[in-house]
This record gives sequence, C-alpha cells and structure tokens, in this order.
Amino acid sequence: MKIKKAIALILSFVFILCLFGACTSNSPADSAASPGQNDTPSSNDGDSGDGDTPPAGKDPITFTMFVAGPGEAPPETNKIVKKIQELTGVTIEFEFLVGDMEQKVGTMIFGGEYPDFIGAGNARGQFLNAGSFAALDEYLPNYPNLWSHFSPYEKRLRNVSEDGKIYILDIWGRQYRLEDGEDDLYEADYNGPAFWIQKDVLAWDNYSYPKTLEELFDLLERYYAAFPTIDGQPTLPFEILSDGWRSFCLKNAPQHLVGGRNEGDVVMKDYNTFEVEIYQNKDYAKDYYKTLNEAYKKGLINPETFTRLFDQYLNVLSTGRVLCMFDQQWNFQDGENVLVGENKLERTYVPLGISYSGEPVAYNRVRSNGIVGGNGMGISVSCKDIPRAMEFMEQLLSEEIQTLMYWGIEGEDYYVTEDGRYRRTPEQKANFDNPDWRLANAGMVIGDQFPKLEGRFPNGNAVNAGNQPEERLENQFDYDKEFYSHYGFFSKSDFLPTMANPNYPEIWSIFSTMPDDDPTKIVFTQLTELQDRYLPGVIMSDDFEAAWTEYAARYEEIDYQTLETTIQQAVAERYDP
Amino acid sequence: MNAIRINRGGFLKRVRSQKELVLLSVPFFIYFLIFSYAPLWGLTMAFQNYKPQLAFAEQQWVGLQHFKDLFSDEKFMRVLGNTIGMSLINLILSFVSAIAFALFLNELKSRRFKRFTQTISYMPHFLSWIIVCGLVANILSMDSGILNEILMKLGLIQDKVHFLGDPKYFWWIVGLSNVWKSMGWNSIIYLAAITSIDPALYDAASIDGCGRFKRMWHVTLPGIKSTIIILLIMNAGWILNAGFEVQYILGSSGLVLDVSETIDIFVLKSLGKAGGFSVGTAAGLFKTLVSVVILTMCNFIAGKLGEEKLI
Repeated sequence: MKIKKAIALILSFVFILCLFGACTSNSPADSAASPGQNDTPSSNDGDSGDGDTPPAGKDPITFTMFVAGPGEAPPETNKIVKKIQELTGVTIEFEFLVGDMEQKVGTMIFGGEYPDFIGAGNARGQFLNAGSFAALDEYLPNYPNLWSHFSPYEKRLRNVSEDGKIYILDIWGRQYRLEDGEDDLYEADYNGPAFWIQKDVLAWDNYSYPKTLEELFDLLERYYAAFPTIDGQPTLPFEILSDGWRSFCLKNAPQHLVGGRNEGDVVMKDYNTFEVEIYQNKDYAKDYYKTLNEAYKKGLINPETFTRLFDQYLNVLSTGRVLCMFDQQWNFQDGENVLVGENKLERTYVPLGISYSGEPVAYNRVRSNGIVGGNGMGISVSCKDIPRAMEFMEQLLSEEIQTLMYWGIEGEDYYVTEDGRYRRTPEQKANFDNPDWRLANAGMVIGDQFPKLEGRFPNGNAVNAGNQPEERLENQFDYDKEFYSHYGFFSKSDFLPTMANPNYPEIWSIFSTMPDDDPTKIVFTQLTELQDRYLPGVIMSDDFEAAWTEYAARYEEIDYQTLETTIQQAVAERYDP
Repeated sequence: MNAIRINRGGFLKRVRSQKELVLLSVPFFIYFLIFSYAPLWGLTMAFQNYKPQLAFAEQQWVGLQHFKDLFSDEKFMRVLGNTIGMSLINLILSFVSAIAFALFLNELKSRRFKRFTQTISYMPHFLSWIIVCGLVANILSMDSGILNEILMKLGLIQDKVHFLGDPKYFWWIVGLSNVWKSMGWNSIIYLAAITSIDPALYDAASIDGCGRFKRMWHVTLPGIKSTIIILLIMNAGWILNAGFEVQYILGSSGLVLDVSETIDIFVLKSLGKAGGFSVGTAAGLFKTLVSVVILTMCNFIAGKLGEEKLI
C-alpha cells in the first residue's frame, strides 16, 4: 500500500512537472541565445563562443528573423553566411512564411512574442499598428552607413507611422548612381505591371507593336484562330488571375490605360493639387471591362480563369499556352522560369504599354526616386539587443559585405578584369542562376531581407551581379537578341517608355500601413471586397450593361468620396521632391 | 454519533478514503484548467474593442455591440445561411452514405473482397484537404477534366460546364467531396456495431421468410439504431462547422463567394480587418453557443425517444 501511494505521488508529481515544463521550455533556449542583455554591443561578458573566434570585443549572437513572405533559410554550410558570421559575429535564424499570412501574423501579434527582426512584407500594416516594431529614431543617426543611406528620406520613413517615429527601414529603393551617363544600363529588367504578351505572338504578326486594347485583342483573336492549340493543349488567349490579394491582375489595368503609374485603387487626376479619384466605377474602367466582356464572348477568355488558384495559374502559364495577361512580372516569374528552363523562349513574355491614347505609356517604369517608406523590415520590441542588431545592419551595408552577398568571393564566384570590372565565367554565372546552388552558396538570402545598396558601387560596377551590363548583353539568349533587334531594343524594359517620378509614394503603400480601424481603411476594404466579388461576373455576363449597372449601384452605396479626400491629404503630406 | 459525522464530513471523508485516486486525477485537472478553461478568458475579447498592444485593463468595453453588428450585417447572415446549408447537406449525405455503405459491405460474401474494399474506401480519410481539393478541381476542370469529358462524350451536355464557377453547384461539390473523403472512415463504426448483432436473429428472420433486404431492414438497422442516434447527436452539435478548407480553397473566386463563405472563413478574414479580433471572437462564441444548444436539444429528444443519451 505504501509503495502504491508513493508511486501515485511520484507519478502525479512527474505529470505536473511535465505540464509546467511544456509551458516554460522556451526560456532556457532564449537565455542561451542572448549572452548578455547588456545594451552596449561591445561589452564582453566572458561568455566563450562555440569555437568560432568572433572579431575582437564581440560575442557571437544569434538573432531570429521572421519574413512575411515565401523563402527558404540557407543551410549552415553556406560559405557566405559563414563568412558574414565571421565578420559580424551574428547568426540569423530565419523563419519564412508558410501558409496563410493573415493567420500567421495575427497569431504572432496576438501572442505578443516576436523574433528579433521582422521582415514585414505585406504584413507591414498589421505589425506596425500592433506596436510590434521598436522605434529606431535614437539609434539610426549613430550608424554612419545606415544614416547616409536613409537620412535623405527621413520624412518618408517617418510618414509611415501615426506617431511620426521610424519603425520600418526600407530594404529596397535606394539606387546609387554615378551620373556618368551610363546609369540607366544598370537598371534591372522591368518586372512590374503591364499587358505581358508572348514573344511568339508578336513575332508571328511580323514583330508588331500593339498600342491599344483593340489592336491587342484583335491580334490575340487572329493568333488564337491560327493556333487553337499549343503543344496539343488548348490555347488560352487571355488569362485573368483573381485569387485573393493577387486580384490586382483583374482590377489594376484601367489606371495604366489612362497613363497613370501603379497607385493601386486610385488614379491621380492632378499632380499639383493631388486630387485623386477611385476609378473602378468610372467610364474608363467600364470600357476596359466591356472589352474583356466582348473578348469573353468571343471565347478569348476561358471562364475557368476566375476559379484558378495562383498555383494553377502558374501551372497553365508554364505550359506555354497562355498568350497574354495583365500582371506584374515578379508575380508570374516562377511560371515563366519553367519556360526558360525548357528553352521555350518564344513563349516567354514582354510588356506592352497599352493605352487609350494609342501611344505606349510607362505603366510602372518610373525613374527611381529613392525609398518608398514602409517597404521593408524592422527590429521588434522583443529584440534582445537592439544596438547590436543595428550594428549588424550597419555592417551589412558596407561595400565589402554587399559585394560578398551579391557577387560572392573574388576568385571563386567572380573575377576582376584589369580595368577593374567584375566579371563571371559562364560556369560561375550558371551557378549563380541556379536557385539551389544560390541557396547553398550565395548570400542574397541574407541581403534580400535587409537594407541594401542598389545601382552601382563607387568603382562603377553593378551592386548586383545580374545587372552588370556587359554580362547581360553577352548572356542574352540568341532568340531574345534577335527578337529585340527587330524593335531596336536592348531588353524587354525598352517596350515601355520611362516616366518621371511624381515624388510621392505609390498610393497603395499608404493604405498598407494605415491602422485597421481607420475609417478610410474600412471603406477601402469594402471596395476591395465589392470589386473581387462582382467584377468576374461582370466580365462573364450575357448582358454587360445590366451587370455593370448593378455593380455600379452597389458601388454608390459605399462612401468612397471620403476616401478620396483622405488620400489627397495623405499624398500632400508625403510629397517629397 | 457515527451517522452524523458521516453526513457532516461525507465529502471530505470520501476524498480522504480515495486520496490516491484524487491525487492521480490532479494532473488531468490541471491540464484541463490550463489548456481548456484558461483560454476561455479570451472570450472577453468579444465584448471589447480588443487591441493586442493594450493591456487588459486598458481595453475598451463595448458590451454586446459586436453581436448587434454581426446580426445586422447582411454578409454575416448570408455566411450563416451558407454554413447551415452546407452543413445540413454534409450531415445528411455523409450519414446516409456511411450507413448504406456499411450495410452493403456487410452483405458481401467474399471476406477478402470485403476487407479490400473497406481498406480502399477509408484511405481518402488520410489525405489532406488541399490534395483532395486539387483532385476535385482537376476532375471538374473545363480544361481536361474527366467529368466534363465524360458528359460530353455521352452527349448529355452541349457545352462544357464550369462547375466550380457556378454558385448552384457549389454546395453539392462540397457535400460530395466530403462523402468521397469520409464515407469509408465513417462506416467503420457502423460495421463494428453490426458485428455485435446476434447472428441468431438473422437465422430467425430467415426462417420467418425474410429476404436479404428485409433482414437488413428488420435486423441490421434496428441493431445499430442506438449507434446511429449517438452519432447523430454528436454530429448535430457541429451544425455550424461546415468545414473550412474546401470552401476556402475551391470557393475563393468572386463567382461563388456568395455561397461559399462559412463562419470559419468569416472569422479568419475578420482577423485582418478593423476590430477583427473582437468580431471574430464574437462570431466564434456565437457558433459555440449554437452548438451547445443544439447538442442539448438533440440529447433531450433522444432521451424522450427512449434511446441512450450522450450526456
């Protein structure tokens, strides 16, 4: 009996311990990862590292980072990651988004425990308004690289938040130019919104250059009649992706048809007073959807396009039978890469600047004007050592580490010619173009998540290996070279003219950081839901006028006029020439 | 004297005499306290304008405002209708199909074939919904989907049907996908119940001149009646759980959005919106309340019918 009792007692004790163990198992790991809660990054607690010798006066430290976008963490054996570890003493443990963003971010905010760094991506507004970011105002000026990188755009950094403090550091957008007349050659290929059309369609039509919707759909109709199937499967002349937040493929074309850049759901009517209008119920939008409706009735748009999920869309695209779509190239890039891999270059795409006026317009080929504000990452309020984290980003911004991340190690991944140009052998380039090799051996996986240099180093070379002009020219596929030569172009970007920067951030980015309970945001959400719900039906309707009238009437039930005035104010505040 | 002491200290005394057992149950008690009851605290969010960055004391209390908003929201009412509609279809289809399948399987003479069929039929249960939805989308596709091909070849339709883009098919697609996925699995419990029926009853029925169908009707079905009722009670409680994955994956297009959104999707989507935590919690709380009420009702009715009750 005594033994039984004793066993019962021990068992229950063990159970209880297990329970509490489950609740607290995080804490030992946390404290192990942060050798000192000390605020001075150079303090040495005498905590011996695990073998690696860190630079003098710096303990090795591990920072965690959540990235609100897809991706894959590099293996520990990645030589650049190791090298950066040696130089900075910092190890980054990445967690990339898997599954639904809203859900993941929502639960993270709810739990109130954050990794040290947050790659905010499209979740920037959620994180910002939940107070997840630490304010960096007092830190930023102490770091010369970061400060010279961001100080010209201080206003834009501050405009993002309600209280005017700096929370998010942009990771893209600061182009370094040398103003020697060659800067434009270093511009990366255009990957923004446009009507993207298969090269073969244009080539078949004697390298024509459609400029209006009529010409475009006429060409698609003729090509479709000539080639009803491609590789044995039915041709899909025009695809419209409308899956979730990617429904910009469905909705965003009208703003460009009237000559605007990518503002999202509004069109800038007057660049001086910043008067804007919501356009999804305007006549120029109606004309576009009417054209789509006619194309649908002619069989140029497959009804299934509206039920295709993003994966399925990429899938049909990668079969090479989608002739044209309105999309942004980064969005369908994975599908197009398959075509490149199978050497079906004639099935890859070039952008068309279709407009109502009949002259090609820039779409979003806007000359860079520095960072946008809010498009980046931040340090979380749970960060174990903010100065050290800042110091890490400071070090990353140095020319040395930027070269490491975007070119590699000299002699292994690239070589330097006598006149100081960085070049790669075909083998080195092939390695770099292979995503698997890149993950295991290159550093952009780190660089892409932090503030970075773009454009050119002071020594004239491109910061990013892929943008070195002589290399781009040499490595262009013969098909592409021949194709572009018919137009007298250097790359696909040249299909679009360039446009001066209007000196305010793209308006969609203003929405993205607005607090959820802002009345403007509520109206905006209502509009988005209405459009996603009705527009596919409008395009597929038998009676277009009736369907449009119903949609437009629904539109009037929403108080979008307030939205327009708020945006006007917001843009005026952010105007920064 | 003794009797009085028992009455007064009855509970304590009983506890003392069973203290090993009580001790053994303590961990489970703590477990449920921490993982099942403590989180209930979060339900207070439904009565606040909850903001995650604020402490509990700083939250703004709004009473039943979120519930009022929900029930005056045309969209929520539509979502509620969708949920109940799809749920009823799911409940009836999966119930009838599982019972019928179990009955037919039971009549099979060949043991080997019976086992084989049973194994095959419950395999889909282990597939994740995302895979099942991929299969369904492929089967129903206009591009090269087998269903459209067959219907065209048979001459039953002139033009290909856009199954996934037409609201009138959506609920049935969800229902039938559910049947495909869970029929075999659900039938296992009925098969188990059938094996416990006394074989003598079948012999007696045969002697009385019952054929196969009459034996199924008069012996097998009554034999598994109590199992059916218990499962019905359990499932009725889930009436507002019409599932989430199928509707989310297959029904995200604007063409069918009006009929595809369920309460779960509504809750998920509200997370990204103004006051989303509170509205979502309110919708979830409402769902739970309905489940509890229906469960109690069904249980009561089952008791009245002289059947075994669940609680």
